[in-house]
Amino acid sequence: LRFVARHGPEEIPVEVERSGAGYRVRLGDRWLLADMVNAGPYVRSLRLEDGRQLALIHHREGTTHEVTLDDATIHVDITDPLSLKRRGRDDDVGSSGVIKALMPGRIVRVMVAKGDTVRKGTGLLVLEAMKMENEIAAPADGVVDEIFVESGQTVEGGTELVHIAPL
Amino acid sequence: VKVLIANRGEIAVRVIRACRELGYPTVAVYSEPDRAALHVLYADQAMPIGPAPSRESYLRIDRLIEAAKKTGADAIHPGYGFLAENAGFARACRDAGITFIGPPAEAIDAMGSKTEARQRMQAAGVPVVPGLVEPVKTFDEIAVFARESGFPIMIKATAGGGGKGLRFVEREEDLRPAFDRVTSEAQSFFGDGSVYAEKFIASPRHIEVQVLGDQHGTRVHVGERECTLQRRHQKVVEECPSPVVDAELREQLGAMAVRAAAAVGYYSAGTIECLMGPDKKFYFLEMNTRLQVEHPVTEMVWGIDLVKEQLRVARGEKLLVKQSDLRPSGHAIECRIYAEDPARKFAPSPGLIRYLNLPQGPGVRNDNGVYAGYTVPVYYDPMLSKLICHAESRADAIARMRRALAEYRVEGIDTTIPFFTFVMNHPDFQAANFDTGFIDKIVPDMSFERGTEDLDAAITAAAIMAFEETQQVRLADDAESPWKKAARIDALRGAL
Repeated sequence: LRFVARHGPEEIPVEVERSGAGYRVRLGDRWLLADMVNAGPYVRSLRLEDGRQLALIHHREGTTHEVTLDDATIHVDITDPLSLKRRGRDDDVGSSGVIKALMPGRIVRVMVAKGDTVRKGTGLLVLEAMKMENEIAAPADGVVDEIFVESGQTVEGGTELVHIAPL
Repeated sequence: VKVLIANRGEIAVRVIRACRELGYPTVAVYSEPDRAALHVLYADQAMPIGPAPSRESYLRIDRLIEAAKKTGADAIHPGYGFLAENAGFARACRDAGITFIGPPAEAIDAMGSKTEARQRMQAAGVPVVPGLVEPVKTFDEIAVFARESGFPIMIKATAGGGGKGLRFVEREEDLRPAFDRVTSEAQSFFGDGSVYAEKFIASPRHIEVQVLGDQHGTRVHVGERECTLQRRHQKVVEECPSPVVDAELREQLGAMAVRAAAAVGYYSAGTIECLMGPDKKFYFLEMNTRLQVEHPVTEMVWGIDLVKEQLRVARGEKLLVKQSDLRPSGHAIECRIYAEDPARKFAPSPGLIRYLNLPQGPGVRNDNGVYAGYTVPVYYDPMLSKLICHAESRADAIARMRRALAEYRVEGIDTTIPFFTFVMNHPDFQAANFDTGFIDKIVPDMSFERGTEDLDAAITAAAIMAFEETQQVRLADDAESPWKKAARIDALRGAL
């Protein structure tokens, strides 16, 4: 079965087929043998050809697979090219000029007003989360053309806070 | 004796454990989102005390006293944070005929006001850092002090503690915003907007001394802890003993700490925090009039259970341990596991813990407050758990901590575990060569790049999972119609 794996900007064609008790996996132009078994909820034991064993944690959300090895989590997007509905991925904070809350919390202060010109690093608002006040600064020079929140308001992670139009 | 624990999370669990061992029934309290928190599950009784915000639940003295009365609890342990250093709470307990498991209210008052504490310590011959003796209400007073003593200075909330409500100021132009921020934080977190300032000691270590006293005037010290490694003025790694303190210096520190505690008539467990310059001169910083987050490293090395001692002292018993019997053995390190993402500037990472594997094995202690299936709420401190490792030497303790961190797995939320692995592997940490600026200095060097081997393994695992899922989906698609399936199940039932 053929897939496309994406990790960051990389796109790798992947193929998986059964082989005995394990699998033959093609990563790009390399074939390798592996076996993987369940080792409790979320835990998988992956064994590679050379015997290397990795106890990893796996969780999938949509097409995104979150694989945790030792101390780092790696996100891999696996899509089936046949059923592929190419969805544009959501832009991260910044590129669209929208500043989003990176974490849930409470807006303590809004330090700018609509129409203000801000420089990169200018404090826009203060978000209190987990007992700390965190100042959210302008990621680039621009003009504040929309403020979506007010002080005292509780926000979820990902909530749009301020829109900054480039100068 | 029945003990109500006026706290949540790992410290409430820790106190419940000590009570269990002494045969005391326990009462947990909880805010609305904490109904299924671990400390509730471990307690014999549990009482609701209000909605999520702490000031409407864990900080409500009236509701805590009422919960104690309803359940017949005759003592209250405050843990740390929340009301642990609130003299009003200690008095309210006393007035209600409930034993407050901690120091007398007068000692909390004396040490709680940083400026009064400085005066009392100076009078008792305990060395202090140069700074303002009186709390200030206006910006001008701070500005004058800053100009006179020179930068850098620290601005601190008079009622602050635990790394909240303080700012480091290096330049004149930063003074105003720092003053405004500390005043605002002081008002919202501690309900008291007054602040003070002190001179900043360059390249210091943060050393603290554990003291323990009974109500009959006996006080001992239980050695020092090395708490130099801090981020945002919040401790992250603690050790016992300090790698820079030898037996002679330990004697001096201990004598100073006992003198400081005696000056305010202290009993129960408490901690004298000091700054120590590279010249090994130490200055009293503040006294924490409560059990400390990092108390387990002392317990592991000195073979003492500080919470049980607190419970005994609160009953009026005499200390069983003598200073001459107390001796350190080996080395212990603690890592505070926070729900924060080190890859995103330590942004809070609350949410559902899908999977949790705590490290085990020789010399490993978990003071843990969470479980798999638990949702870390956004309302409280992000500390989930403390991992403590004890071994014969500092090098062995570091090796054990690295091993334990490798076993530690939390899935669903991000934690500071990778950050601690980085610290344990750092040559300067291993050489005990650090000051309070160490963490800020090394954080930019942290790499989250993965080797290609790991990436291959991750993609392979993800691809196999995707493959297995399509196989299952196909099987379901190929299966007979739901009607036929239902009929077959009925037939099977008939056969049974």
